[in-house]
Amino acid sequence: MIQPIYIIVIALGGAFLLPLFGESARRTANVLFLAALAFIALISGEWLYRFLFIDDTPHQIFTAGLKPPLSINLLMGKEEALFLFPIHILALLGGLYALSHLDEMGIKSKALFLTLVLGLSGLIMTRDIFNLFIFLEITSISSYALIGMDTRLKSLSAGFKYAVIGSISSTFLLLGIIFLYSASSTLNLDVMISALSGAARTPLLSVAIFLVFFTFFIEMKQFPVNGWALDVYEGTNPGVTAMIAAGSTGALFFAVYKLLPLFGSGLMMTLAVSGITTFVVSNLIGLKQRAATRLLGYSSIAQMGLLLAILAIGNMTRMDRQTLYFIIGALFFNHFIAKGALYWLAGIVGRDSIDEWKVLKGRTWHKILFGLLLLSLAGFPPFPGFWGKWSLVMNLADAKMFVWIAFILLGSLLEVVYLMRWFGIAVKGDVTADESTSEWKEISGSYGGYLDEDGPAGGYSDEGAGGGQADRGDAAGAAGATAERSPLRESSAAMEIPPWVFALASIGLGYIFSTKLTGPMPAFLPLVAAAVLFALDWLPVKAKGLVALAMIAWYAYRVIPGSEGLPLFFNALFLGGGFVLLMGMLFRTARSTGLFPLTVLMIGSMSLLATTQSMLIFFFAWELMTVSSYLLIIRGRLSRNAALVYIVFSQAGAFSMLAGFAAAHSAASLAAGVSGAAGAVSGGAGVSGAATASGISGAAGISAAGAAAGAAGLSNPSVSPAWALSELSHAGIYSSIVFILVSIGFLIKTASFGLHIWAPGAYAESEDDVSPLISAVLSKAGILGFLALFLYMGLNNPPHIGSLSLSAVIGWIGVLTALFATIFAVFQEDAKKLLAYSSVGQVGYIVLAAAMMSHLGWVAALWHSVLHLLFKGLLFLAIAGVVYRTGTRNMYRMGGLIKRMPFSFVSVLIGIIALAGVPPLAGFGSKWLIYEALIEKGWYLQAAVAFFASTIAFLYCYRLIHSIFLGMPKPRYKNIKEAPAWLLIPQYILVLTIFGLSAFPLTLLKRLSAIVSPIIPATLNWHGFTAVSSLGYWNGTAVMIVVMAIFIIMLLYLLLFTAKPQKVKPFNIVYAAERPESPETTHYAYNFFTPYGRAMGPILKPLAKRFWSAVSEWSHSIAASVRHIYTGDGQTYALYIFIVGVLIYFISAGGR
Amino acid sequence: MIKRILSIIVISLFAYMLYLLVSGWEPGKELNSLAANYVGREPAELGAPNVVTAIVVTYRGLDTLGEVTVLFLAASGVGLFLHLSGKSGKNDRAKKKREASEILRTGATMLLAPIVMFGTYIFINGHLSPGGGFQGGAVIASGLLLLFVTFPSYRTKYSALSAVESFSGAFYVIVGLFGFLLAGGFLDNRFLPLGSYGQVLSAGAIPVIYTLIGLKVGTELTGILEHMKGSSE
Amino acid sequence: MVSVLILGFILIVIGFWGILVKKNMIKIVLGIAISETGLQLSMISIGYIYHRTAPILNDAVPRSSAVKMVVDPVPQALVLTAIVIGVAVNALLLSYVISLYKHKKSLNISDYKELKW
Repeated sequence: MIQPIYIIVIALGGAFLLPLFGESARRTANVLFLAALAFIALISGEWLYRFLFIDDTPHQIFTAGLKPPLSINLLMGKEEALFLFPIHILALLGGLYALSHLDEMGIKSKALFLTLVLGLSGLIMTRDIFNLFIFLEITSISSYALIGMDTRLKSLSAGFKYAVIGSISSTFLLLGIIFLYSASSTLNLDVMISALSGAARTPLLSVAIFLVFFTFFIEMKQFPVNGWALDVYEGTNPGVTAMIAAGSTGALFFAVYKLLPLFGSGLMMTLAVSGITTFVVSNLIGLKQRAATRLLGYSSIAQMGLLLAILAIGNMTRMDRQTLYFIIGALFFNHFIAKGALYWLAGIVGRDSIDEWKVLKGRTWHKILFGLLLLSLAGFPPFPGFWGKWSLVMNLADAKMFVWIAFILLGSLLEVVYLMRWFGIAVKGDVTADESTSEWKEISGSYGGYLDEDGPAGGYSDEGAGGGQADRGDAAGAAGATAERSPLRESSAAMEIPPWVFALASIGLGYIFSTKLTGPMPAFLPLVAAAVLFALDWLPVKAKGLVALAMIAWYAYRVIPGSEGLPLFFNALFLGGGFVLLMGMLFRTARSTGLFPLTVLMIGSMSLLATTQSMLIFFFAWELMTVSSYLLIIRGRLSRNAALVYIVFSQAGAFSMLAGFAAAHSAASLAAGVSGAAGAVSGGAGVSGAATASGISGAAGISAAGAAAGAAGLSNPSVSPAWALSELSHAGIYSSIVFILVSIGFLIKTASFGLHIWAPGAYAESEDDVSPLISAVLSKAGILGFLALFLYMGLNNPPHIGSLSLSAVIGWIGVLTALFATIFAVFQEDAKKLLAYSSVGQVGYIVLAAAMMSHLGWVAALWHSVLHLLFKGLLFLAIAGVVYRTGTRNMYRMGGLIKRMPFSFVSVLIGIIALAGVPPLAGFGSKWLIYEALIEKGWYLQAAVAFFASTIAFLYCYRLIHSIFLGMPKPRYKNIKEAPAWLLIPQYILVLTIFGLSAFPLTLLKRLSAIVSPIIPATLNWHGFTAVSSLGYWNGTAVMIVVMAIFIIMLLYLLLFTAKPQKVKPFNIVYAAERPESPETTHYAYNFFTPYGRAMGPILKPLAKRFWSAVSEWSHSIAASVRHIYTGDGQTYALYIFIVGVLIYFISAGGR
Repeated sequence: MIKRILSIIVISLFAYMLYLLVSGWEPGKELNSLAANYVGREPAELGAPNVVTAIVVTYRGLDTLGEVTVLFLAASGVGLFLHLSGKSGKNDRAKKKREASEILRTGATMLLAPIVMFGTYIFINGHLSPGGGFQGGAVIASGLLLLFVTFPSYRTKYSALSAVESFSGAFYVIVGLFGFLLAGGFLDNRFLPLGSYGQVLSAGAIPVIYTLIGLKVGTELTGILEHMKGSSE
Repeated sequence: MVSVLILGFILIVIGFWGILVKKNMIKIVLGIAISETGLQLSMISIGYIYHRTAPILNDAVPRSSAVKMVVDPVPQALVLTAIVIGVAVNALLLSYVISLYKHKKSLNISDYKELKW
């Protein structure tokens, strides 16, 4: 073991000696500089290794050879090493990164860098409070010097403010320390804490402690005394900022952690409240921020606020140490890595405003890096932040701190908004004029479709066919070839490597943290598959697609035989549907980096969703699915805003779900405790296979509690083994609120009424061959959620509010979704938007059916899920082919394509017949089942609405055929070809499946009924080929035979006996009934249903959109006014310090 | 105006907090345990008559090392700031400065040597008398300040100065390391013999360390002064 | 030594007052320096004991009875550190002011609001 004192020796010796090297010996100096940093990292790394794997007794370092309190001692323990090593790695990589900048500044800047590292290490290791002050000063003063050294006006004014504030706070600290010394006659931290712990809090002591506390309050950049820090983050060279934002805050955080016992319980509440306030307010203000580095600053401050709050809460609630460390570790390192690397990336990009980050367009690797880091910062899986957040929320719920959870989730959501918006800008750059340029107000804008005043619905309206085709398809990959490589600052390998190391480290850490919660887990399988596919990116696109298909097939082969019941159903749905629809992507010729990995990731995580038995993995898979689908959607050419709305809504839903899970968990662990099953909690850790997890009651306990209560016979005997949400059945007193919160998550995913506004954009704007997957497969995840929720919360004892049954509410929401989405679909000019609205509506039917909680209802829901997947996948694929050939999505620009694209025509025809629910195709079965179920249940009004909606659906179905394929062919498309074969193959697989199901519906129906009947007693029976319910019967096979016979007869008749029809030429105005070559707006198919639109005007107002855009505008304007407190005047910042200081002191009465 | 009123209010409230400190504080009658411990054992343990020096150099030697670092930081920082920005604003200072008077010039030249010697005396006797490296270094720098004031165009030999600065700092660290390797711990002064109590060459490494500190502080402060004068390169 | 402590506190308050109301950056730095001086004064007054002498154990202060004769050496050691740090910070702050002045030829702190919100 290398003694830790060498960290100090090397840093300081290096700093003192480096200035000896003149400019001539710069190379040698650089080598020595990096060697010193590497050696320091080696020392702490070695200690960390020892503490983790060999022996975790802390190592004391006594300076001067004497014991404390006489002399200063340092401590190298596990916690210290855990903080030191990352900071030293940050320093090493940061030194490498900043080398060119430091070279410019002169040799002394490297010495300053080394002393900064020294200061940070000392802050962490020292156990002497005055020594802590010294190291704080070393840290601060090196920072002042590093910040200002490039003498740009920005860095100077930022550094000066920092130095003034730092001086004031160090005066506070020293004043506090000297009085603490007079009160305790020691400077050693441990002795002081034990001396003062029993002492009465005299006014003197409370002021002294408060002064120390408040110093760190300022240094930790709590709201609102953090203006200086924001200025520093914005104004400084990013290489330096990375060290300050990640390294200094980390070391300071550790210092606070050390001092915590000194502060005593009185100041804990202050710390917790201020931390959460900082978290929420900073994230709120972040909404309004356009400067990249300052935005990162807001995020950084917010994260530190959250960490401080957790630290304080953990202390207040006497949270289990192990758990507290886990949460803090996960969240801290998540932030540490992401923030450090993002500042580095900001330095490479070298653009101030986030709007200029569009220079990343065409730089695939930078975009991937940026995406990884932002997703990690936003707390998505598999990054450590995700596991930390889960554990945090669960533990807060155990302590019944629901208000805190609400604020934390709110703050996190705000963070998601601005981070993902930034990502969108960087990845997609400017969106063309078609989409409104104003930020975020688009919600009210371009998805609106019909009723928006500004002419044709947003979309491709004036895109030339050729241009559309060239740009289309492959925004992410091919753009690299076409887009000009925008000039970025020169960046060497030394600058590129560090952020990548961090990004990969974040993934690795994510895995490590996950194993603490779940044991070694197969849940990373989708990620591994995606990574493998990504590594195969060099293959030709078709080969990649085939590999992806093989992966899914192999996975299905592994998973499906072992499962049964609902998991089997959904696995088959997701994997089978995914497999077929993925084939469509093989038509591509462009490189399409990332497409297949993301698709496989999405399908894999959905399968995980269907398979898992743990609530945590369910949530993990849910988030993984969200993030992969988000990335798929954002690949679309104009999808920037659609994707943003999608991810924001999805995250809102996910957080709502998380809150619901937390409430259920709290009730469940309460129940487990009451029934004396407390022992099972620790036993649960054994179950999950990780002995280390015993402390982490956050998740390991849940499964134990679930298992314990499940054994007590509380849960439904339905699905064996227990499905993911089985813990929800123990929600007890919270069941209503749990039900509502979790439902909101699923309602958003199914794009239900009022929460649907993300869906049309997301479905329509994603790439044409991705839309089928998103719309046909992804939306079923919400159905899965609902079934799982109802299974455990709705069937036996549906939650009520008063006499209002919540499941009935869900049912109403479903049917209203079906109605309104159908109406909106009717008025779309854009074929994909039409299908998108239709999809929303169809899923509404499924929700309605599921909400009935009857056997027939559930069979209907399952049946319609299959059917909807088939026909919506089919339609989207067919439209994808049409759009690919025509280059437009607006139906009035098409027409007469039946001659040129007959196969696509047949696909669409079959699709809409299935969709419309007309016999003989299986769509009729859906309707039959749903209406039967509704009547059986007694939901007559809902049945009427559903019936009305399905009638309206004919209107838009008709348009698909009529506007696209019938009528006059446009001259422009005279020589158009049939859709590519790879788009047609999956279509015809789907067509055949539809026919098969239509002819032999019972093969599937019987199985579905068998899945449902163990859960709900069956009311559906069979006689041969006939399904018999209490109300009627359906023999799909017979109907098919009859209809087919009639069809063939008619066809033969027409072919044999009808006179030859007259062919109509485009200029034959009499027959064509339209003006040739006319502007599109006078096309007969444009605004086809205007009369209906006028009649239904009031209903069609996009109220939901207006509501949500108002929410968005309000939060932005609140952010805009709050941020004005940061005037930029250093003196004002100083004044804030005093105001806040005395306020907190007198409000908290000095923490007594 | 509002700002001023607010300032008055918060400053008075802050003053009230300070008043709480004063009113709660009682002047000590006896040394507290830690101080008594230092005073009681130090002479035998470290062999320096000046207990403050013993605390500064050995017991709390890490603080002092940090302190030296802080000064080093300030010197480097000032150097970086004023050196670099000097490039842009060179023309401002083109004017020739007025020569100092005869008396000043003679006096300064005469005084320089005694001042430097006095400074040296202070840091060498740091463990015997109320002196020390910082004080001695500051005295030496004040001698150089006299030179700067008297001869506006005077320049130190920058490379020599920075070599002294670097080496004294590095040796300080190495001496500390000797303490760790040869005696009880980092910065332990007892790896050299304690000698006879009260002599200049006694108290182990304390005089060595104070000499190094004196050199380092003297050169650093000189560097700061010179940068602030604005004449370096 | 309550009087010195109070004097130190008064200096601290004066220094802070300067920081909060003086617009000139040099005066602000002076305010910081004044409050630091006040702080240093209060630090040594904490360690002082009436009618005692400096903790230098030479002929005037026999080692045997030193504990009864000298003041607390610890605050004196600390104040030395505090002074040096104060000097360092002030030097750095002043060079900040010089560099800022070179940019805008202004010493008014309110003129340097490039970074805000």
